[in-house]
Amino acid sequence: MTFTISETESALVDACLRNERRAQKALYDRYKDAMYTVAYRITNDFDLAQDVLQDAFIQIFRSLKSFRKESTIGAWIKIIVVRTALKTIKKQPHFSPIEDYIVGNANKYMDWGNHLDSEYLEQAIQSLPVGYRSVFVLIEVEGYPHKEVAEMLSISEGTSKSQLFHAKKKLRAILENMK
Amino acid sequence: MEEKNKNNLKKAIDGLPKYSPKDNLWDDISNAMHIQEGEKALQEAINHLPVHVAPNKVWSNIAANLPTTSKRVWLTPLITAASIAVLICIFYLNNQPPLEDEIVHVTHQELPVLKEELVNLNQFSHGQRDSAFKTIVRSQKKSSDAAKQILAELEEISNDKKGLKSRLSRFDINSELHDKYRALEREELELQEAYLANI
Repeated sequence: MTFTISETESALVDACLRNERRAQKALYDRYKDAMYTVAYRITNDFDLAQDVLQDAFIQIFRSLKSFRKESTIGAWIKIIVVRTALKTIKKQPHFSPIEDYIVGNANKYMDWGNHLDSEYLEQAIQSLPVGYRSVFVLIEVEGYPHKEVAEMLSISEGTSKSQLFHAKKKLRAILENMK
Repeated sequence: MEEKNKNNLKKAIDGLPKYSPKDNLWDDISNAMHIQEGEKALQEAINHLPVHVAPNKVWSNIAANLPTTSKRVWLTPLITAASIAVLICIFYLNNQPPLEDEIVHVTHQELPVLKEELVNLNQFSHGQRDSAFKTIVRSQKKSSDAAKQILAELEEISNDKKGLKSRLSRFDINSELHDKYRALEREELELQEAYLANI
């Protein structure tokens, strides 16, 4: 897949590489809310999300020279935020690693009805256990493929599929109880 | 001829074998479509999930951890080089020997010449000779007993000379006092030579 980075974006990145603070702030402003939201969905904690955003952007600016402009800068930033968020939740005392197992019928059809309220869905996502939540957010919300998620979470692709199925099942049950 | 070839090709193409898909392919397609329909509501809700606003203080924390602008980046080695130069200058100046020491050092170098030429008294005035002699005496860290004795006698002569000089005015014509003064100078010269022989 070939991405092209826009001229504006490329100029912004170049200015950031020269440590121009205004350019760095502009890049941060462009992605801060989206990245803060990603960090919050993974960590389920606003304070942790704030720490993730801070650590991730410091890392982004420090390692910007390694950005090869083969993808969009947004995609590159998001992967760093996601990895930082996953690292952060793994450090939490209540974190339990995702068990690497596969359950059959992972592709089983699931009906979500005609309409699903986004606010309810947001609450339901936050009620999911950390493993299910990470997989669901990364695959369904952020659009990463199973292969990439499996690599990020150090699990097999099959486990990723299985976890997603269980996450959806659990999510639907939570949403049913909300009605 | 050309038309005949075309017909032959068409007949051959029409005669190519036909293949049928597996029987359950439709079921797979139908299932996939069904899943897509069922998930439509989920995808719709996901697309409208709320976006959370990052707190303002995060940027100030990030900025505090970032290196300064490129202008200052190129200034840094310049400032460092200037600082090093200043430090080297301070170090060099602090390690210079004091001025007095240097004078002593130079006179030490001249010592053999002074000692040798002191013997040829005609080349020196009394003042030059006394000054050179005092320098030689100061340069001696250890003196023999004989040398110490000579120095004590020279001290006495020096005091006598001072006393006599105070009695002689600039235009004094008392030849006796002048003779006595010259005698003291000769005696002083002999003692100085004796001292030099004993060091």
